[in-house]
Amino acid sequence: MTMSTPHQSETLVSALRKAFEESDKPPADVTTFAEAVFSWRTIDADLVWVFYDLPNEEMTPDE
Amino acid sequence: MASLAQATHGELLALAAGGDESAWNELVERFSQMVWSIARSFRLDDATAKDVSQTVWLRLVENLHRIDDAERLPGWLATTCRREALRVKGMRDRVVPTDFQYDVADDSSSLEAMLVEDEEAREVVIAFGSLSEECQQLLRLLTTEPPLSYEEISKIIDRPIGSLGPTRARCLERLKAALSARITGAGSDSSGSGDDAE
Repeated sequence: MTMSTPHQSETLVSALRKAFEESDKPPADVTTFAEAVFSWRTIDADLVWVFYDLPNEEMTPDE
Repeated sequence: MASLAQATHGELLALAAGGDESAWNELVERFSQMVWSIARSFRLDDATAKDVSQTVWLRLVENLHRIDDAERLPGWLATTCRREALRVKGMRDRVVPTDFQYDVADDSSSLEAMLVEDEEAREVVIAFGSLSEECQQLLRLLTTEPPLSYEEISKIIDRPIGSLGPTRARCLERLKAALSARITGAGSDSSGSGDDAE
């Protein structure tokens, strides 16, 4: 087997990169999820405010 | 800052940590292909690779304020993705497969090839599918965008950094041979046997 020159190797790597870019893109729902998940970063704080705003009787367990 | 596309990883991370949704979206745009490629390099099917990728983004949003060296974000994402992929693979390996699962052949490479319109790229994908698992993983990691460093790849595949260059050369030689065989019409057998990348 003849060894590839560095130039040939880089050409092959570029061809492979291009092929993956075309054939194996991240699915749209993964990127949609990734963008949407940003709004979850404040969910703990948001929940605190939700409970803070509730009237006291709603926070009292049923007897 | 002129534009988010020109911002460093650190600048984007700081802006996102401060609540800037556009900066977060730019991070997703910049790294989603890389995260996806790493997940797929563990030979996960589409559905599992999706779960792994989504978990990585969830972990990042949980840790926006905790990443000390923001310029090492690609490495952080790569390590998180590797851990999650190995965790999922470990869980999957503990499940006893049914007869049906035994019968399912891994044809992900040929499915990918069907999606490629460019003939040359399609040949490359088919030839890639004939390589060993180790070669496929290394070549996937070497072609991510943005690129991973050898140090990061070495951690992902748990191999000494010094072995990566020679293994890369061997895998590319095998890819070249597989491509040549296909072009000359002698590549009807693409089993990839005896193609270890040690």
